[in-house]
Amino acid sequence: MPDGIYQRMFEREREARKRAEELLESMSLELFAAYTQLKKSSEELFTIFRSVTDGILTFDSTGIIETLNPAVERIFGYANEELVGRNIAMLLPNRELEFPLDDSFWLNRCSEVQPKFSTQGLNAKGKVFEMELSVSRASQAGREFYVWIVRNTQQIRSIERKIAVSQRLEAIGQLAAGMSHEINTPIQYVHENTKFLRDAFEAMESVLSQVEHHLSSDPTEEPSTLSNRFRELFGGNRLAFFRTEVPRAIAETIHGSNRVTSIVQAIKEFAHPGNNEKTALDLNHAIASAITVSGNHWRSECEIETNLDPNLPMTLCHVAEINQVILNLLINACDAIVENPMQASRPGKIVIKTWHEAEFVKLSISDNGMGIKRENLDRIFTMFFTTKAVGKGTGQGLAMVHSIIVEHHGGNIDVVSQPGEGATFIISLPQSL
Amino acid sequence: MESRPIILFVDDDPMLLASTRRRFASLADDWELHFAESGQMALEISDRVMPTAVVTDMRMPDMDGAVLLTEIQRRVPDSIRIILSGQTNGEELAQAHVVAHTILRKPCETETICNLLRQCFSMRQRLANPTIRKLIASNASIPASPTAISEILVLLRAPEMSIDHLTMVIRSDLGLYAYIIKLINSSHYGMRSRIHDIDQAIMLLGVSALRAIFCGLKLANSLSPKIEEHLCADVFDGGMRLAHRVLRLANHHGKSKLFADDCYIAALFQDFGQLVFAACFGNEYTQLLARAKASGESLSKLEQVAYQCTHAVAGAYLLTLWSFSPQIVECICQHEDTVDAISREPRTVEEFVRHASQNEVRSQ
Repeated sequence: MPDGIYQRMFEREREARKRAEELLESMSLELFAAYTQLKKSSEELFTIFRSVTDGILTFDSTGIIETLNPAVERIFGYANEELVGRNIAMLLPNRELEFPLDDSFWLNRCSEVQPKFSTQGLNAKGKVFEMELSVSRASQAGREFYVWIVRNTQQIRSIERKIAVSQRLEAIGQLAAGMSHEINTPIQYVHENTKFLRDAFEAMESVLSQVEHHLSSDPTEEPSTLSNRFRELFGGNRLAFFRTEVPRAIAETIHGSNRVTSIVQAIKEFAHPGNNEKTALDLNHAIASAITVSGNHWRSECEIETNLDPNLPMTLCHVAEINQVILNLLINACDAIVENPMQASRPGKIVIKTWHEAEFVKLSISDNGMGIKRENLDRIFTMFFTTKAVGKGTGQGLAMVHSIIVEHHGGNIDVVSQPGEGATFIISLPQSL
Repeated sequence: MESRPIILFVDDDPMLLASTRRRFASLADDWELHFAESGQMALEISDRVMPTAVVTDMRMPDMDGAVLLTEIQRRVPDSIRIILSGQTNGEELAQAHVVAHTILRKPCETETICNLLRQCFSMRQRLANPTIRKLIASNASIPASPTAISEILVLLRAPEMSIDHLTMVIRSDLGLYAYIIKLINSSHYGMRSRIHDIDQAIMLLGVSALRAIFCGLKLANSLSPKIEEHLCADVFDGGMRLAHRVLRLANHHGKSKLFADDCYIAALFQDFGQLVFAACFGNEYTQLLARAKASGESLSKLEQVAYQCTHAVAGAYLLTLWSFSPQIVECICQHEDTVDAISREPRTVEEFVRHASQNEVRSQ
């Protein structure tokens, strides 16, 4: 072969190699850039994955845990290697395990079916706690797996519970002040009447003993002298006074002590220790208690008319909470009457009704107070919203009523109001079975 | 001789009135009793009979106890006004404190009401001049120094009242001091034993209740004559000196804390009546004091001539209305009377205070 050909082949080869090298270089540069980019974003994702406060955990369709972030370690108290490769069942209290933890179990709990739900978790120390869970299903390279996003809500729950308790205590505290006024008046006259009865008995006793003395001293005494002596004994006004006043004092003392008993009874029922179980409640009875308990608030301001359904079915509820609702609405109605600038021209009146309708027990409380302005109607159930003067209301009463009726009991609350004319609150509670 | 005292009881609970009527029945010969179930009814009776004393419930429909007593104060200025309340809220009773002489708390024994009324009536009888009686009973203000009052008003305006500062102002003024004791001992505050420790009293009353009460008093005080500053200082210093002396004497004799406290208060308020007179007559009384000092004439005699009554009795009357204990009031009432020097060991509160004051004269 002639040299020229070799030369050209060599040149071409060299060109090709150079291009290839250039290509390789640019490709590897690209690759490097892509690799750097990928590394950066994966590091970013990993940092995000590690730093979020919600726990993220993946497991395959048989429940075997694959990956998790440090938040999961914190929430459950296990180290990464203690979880990977184990079954998800170890993070759930036994109660949940009544269902087979198979694919369909998680499929039903995926966010498309159930967006976010509260359940209980089991930590490394064996303690059950409240958590909020959202489950999603993912697939990668034809392989299906599940992702958990988990948050510990134990603390939030316990704070919420504490707030609820403190609100109840605050309400009871306010009541106690009014209550002492309710009890002090009857106690005063019960006590004074008893002392009066003691004095009356002493006076009568002295007459009786003199009668006894006269009868036993001289059996031969003339009946006429004897009757004169008795006439003398009975002559004074004092005895006549006792004879008319003693029966009245006794009747009023009984009345007073009954009043105290019924007030104390009502407080006892009202302060019913709130356990977590729902119990059957006679709403009519609860209303009567609330009226007694709050007497100090309304007695001098308005009258209360009740129209209670005698055939009202029992309702299954948290008794203390429903008592609270009735009382809050009652005091609210009373405040609306007191704050009404027209109060002087129109005597205050509160009407309480109960009835039942389909599966629901219904209660309405109406007042003829100042009513609710249209623009406020949407906001009255908002926490801390109040139109009352500073120191008169904290804006928590109606918010609490709403949360108790709607969230805790699956009931409903409606309000109808004509500004200046009054307002009616209507509550529906599911009746017990 | 005065006609018998007339008492008007007011309560919206007819059963409470009935029990009161029964319990007071045995006193019907000494006292004329009237009963009303509402404020309106009470005013009608009051206009007709002009009661010596009114005992009313606080919370009643239409017209509450404070409003009723304000009206009674206007119509029958020399009436003795008592509230018998079931309430426990100090702030709610602030308005009542301005017009009522004493606030008693339900449940309250008939004997307690009776004793208080009896003491008031007997002290009232010793105060012969009806004009002064009227001035003392109708005046809602505190016989305190104008400086102390204005300092209190400044404190009230501050968004947060300092309790230390408040205590300081109160304990340096006899009128305010007495008033705080009146508030705390009104058995309304539920204390069994009497409290004479001013710091403790202020703590128990609480700043918010005091703020409400002083706000109510503001107007009342601006209407009465100003008491001269130096008189307040003189009476206060004199009272303090004697109080410390008698306290030492009581401790020296190994007397109980309770007894020593009584002696202390009786000595401290010995000349409280001078402030009461000054609050009634202003400058006129200050001149009378100056005259007694300059000429060496007996102050009591001058007071008798001018007012048919001494400052000792006037002070004792106001303190009785404010439900100070009878023992202390008696001691204050008689402190100007001439009694032979006590040779024997002192025994009663009165003797202790007299003893201390004679020692003081001797040592000067």
